[in-house]
Amino acid sequence: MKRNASLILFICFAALAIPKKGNGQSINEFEIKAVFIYNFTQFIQWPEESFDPSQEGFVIGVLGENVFGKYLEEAVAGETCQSRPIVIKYYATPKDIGNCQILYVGSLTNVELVAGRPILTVGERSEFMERKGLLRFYQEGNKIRIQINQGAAGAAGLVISSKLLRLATIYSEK
Amino acid sequence: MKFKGVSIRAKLIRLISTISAISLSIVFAALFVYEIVSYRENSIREMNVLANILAANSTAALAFNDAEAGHEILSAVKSEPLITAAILFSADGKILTGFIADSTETTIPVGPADYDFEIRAGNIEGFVPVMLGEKKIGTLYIRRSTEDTQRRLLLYAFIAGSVIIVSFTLTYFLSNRLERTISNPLISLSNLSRQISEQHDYSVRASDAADGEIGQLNEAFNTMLAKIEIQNNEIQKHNQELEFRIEERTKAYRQEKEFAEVVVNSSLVLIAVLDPEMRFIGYNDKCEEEFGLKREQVLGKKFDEVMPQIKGTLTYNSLLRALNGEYVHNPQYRSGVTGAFYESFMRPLRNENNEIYAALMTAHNINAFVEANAELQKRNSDLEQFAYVASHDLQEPLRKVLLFTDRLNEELTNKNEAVVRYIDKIDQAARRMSNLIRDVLAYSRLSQLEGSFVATDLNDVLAQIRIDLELYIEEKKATITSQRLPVVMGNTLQLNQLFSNLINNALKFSDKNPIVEITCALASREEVISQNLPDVSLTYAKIQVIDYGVGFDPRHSEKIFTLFQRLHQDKKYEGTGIGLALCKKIVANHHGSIGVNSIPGAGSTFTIFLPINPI
Repeated sequence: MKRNASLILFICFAALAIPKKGNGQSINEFEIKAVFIYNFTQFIQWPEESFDPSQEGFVIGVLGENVFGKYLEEAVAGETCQSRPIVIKYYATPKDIGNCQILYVGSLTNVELVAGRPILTVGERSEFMERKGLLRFYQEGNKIRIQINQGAAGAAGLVISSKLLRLATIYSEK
Repeated sequence: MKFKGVSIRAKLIRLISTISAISLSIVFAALFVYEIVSYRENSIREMNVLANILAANSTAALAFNDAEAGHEILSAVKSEPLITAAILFSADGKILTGFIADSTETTIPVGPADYDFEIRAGNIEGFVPVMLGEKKIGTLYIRRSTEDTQRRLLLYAFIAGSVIIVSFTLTYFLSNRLERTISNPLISLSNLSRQISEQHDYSVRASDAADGEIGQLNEAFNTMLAKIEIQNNEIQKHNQELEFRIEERTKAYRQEKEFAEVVVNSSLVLIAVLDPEMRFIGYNDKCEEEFGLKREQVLGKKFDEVMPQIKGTLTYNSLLRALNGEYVHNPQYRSGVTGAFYESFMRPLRNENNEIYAALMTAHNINAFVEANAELQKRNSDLEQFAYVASHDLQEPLRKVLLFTDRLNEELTNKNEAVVRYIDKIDQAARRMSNLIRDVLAYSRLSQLEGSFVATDLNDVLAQIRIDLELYIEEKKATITSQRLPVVMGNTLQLNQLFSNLINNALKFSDKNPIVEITCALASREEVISQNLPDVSLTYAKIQVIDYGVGFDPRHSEKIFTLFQRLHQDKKYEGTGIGLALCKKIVANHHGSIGVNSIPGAGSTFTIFLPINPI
């Protein structure tokens, strides 16, 4: 009985959890994703050798169009990861991709170029995962959810926190 | 006594039970407090740990705003029914997810002020921050009911109460049983001491069955009793001895007293004792007889109260003098009370501090003696008068006998030898008789010449005697030597006769060329006392007349001073037997004494003591 009551309550809260999403898109989808991207830095461990000595900090690269606007920069402003200041780099084409730790590819899928390198590639599309993408956002109902290719990430030398894994769906290659 | 016994039991039981109850209560109270405090601390610590674990697990859910995941995490504690609420707040204070067990609850905690846990209204509740790295990304609220604690404490109190009651009951019964081992010996000891104090029987003993302190107490009690018994026996023995001794002493004292009383009362002498106030404290039977007053009538009363006429008399004044420490001797006086003559002696009686506490009077009635003496004196005087008259009257016919004997001798011309001898015998007998009469006359005269005493120089007396006896001294070819003699108060004629008789005697009883020595010295005190002289306080001269004549048997040294006593019947030493009796009488008249010492064939020494300054 109690359990049912709390369950009801939970649902009630759950409804509150994403409050203003439904009513007029007051929170931008990319604003959330920008925060998520920043949050990844806190749940994933990068190998030390992934940092090029020449690079200026922890680099989050955005390939192609900047869909975040200012959100991403805002999200990481003043933040650090693994004792390095987080910086944002925008790469127009895959050729421009420099040394980075996170690479947001948007709706692009061709990430083979960086595959195997210790870079968390973040995409949007399901094919992205098939093409060796490590993490993608997807929508489930009102919620933005995450899919992670744990095996590839491990191969790339990234260590993903179980806490993050708990939230994510695990992609497994066929 | 019974009440006391019960009381000590009740006290012991109550004491033990109360102590056990109190100590148990204290232990339980302490445990209770400890339990509360430690449970509270533990609960808070546990809650802290739980909340921190939840918070740590919730970071991803908060970071990714994943209510479902957050709920899943919180669900882990939901299985614990005591956790009544857990809510995750995002950084901006909005609720991400959570649950509240009691659906009726309306107040949802918001906006944590601090991150501490506290117990409020039966719940432990508090907030912990949810940190992502250095950053706080949200808050976790968690609440836990303390219902279990309360239940637990209630159970605890129930158990404690039960234990206390059970143990109290147990203690009561156990102590009831155990205290007997303490109180029973005490009660029996107490009974024993009561018995002893009531019956004074110290021979009983406490049972020695008990051990420990009670045993020691019993032992000490027994030792004490034994000592008391011994002491008691000793005391009784002492008492008996003491009583016996007192009895003996009382007896001895009574005997002594009776003895003294018998002696005093048997006395023919009046004995009375007077205290310094002149009250009678002693009065013997003789006094009763003499004064006609019973002892009961006089004892404790004053002398002048009992016999008013005594005041101012010699007896009374002598007693006062005795009370002042004098020894008073009254040889003869007439009593103002009885009218009789008495000789009395009064002396002070002194206690051990030499203080006079009484005067002793002893007296005896000399009435008969005084009367007899007076009668005797009268008779003596009559006799002497008769002797004088008789002697005087006898001289006349004797003179006639002598005269006519002489005539007859002249007238008879033709006398034969026998006639001559007869006439001579008559003449001699008559002359002897004349001498006798002369001496008797002289002796009887002595009594009549009393009272005419003058200072007489004995040297003059001796010189006169030398003249009187000149022819006799020459005839005997005698030598008379003399030391210087004193002057005495006396009758010159009598003193002349005294020395004349002694010297005559000395010459008479010496055969040829007699030597008579007269010595004189002051008599020593010892000599004065030994001579039984009438007044020992006077000074006496000791005059000796020594001859070296025939002497006599010293057995007769007293006898020769009696009248008509002659030792030598030999015609050679003719005499009347009156001379020495006369001497004795003369010396007595002069308050002196005379004695003689003689060795037959070696001579005699007559010793005269005469007072040098008689009154």
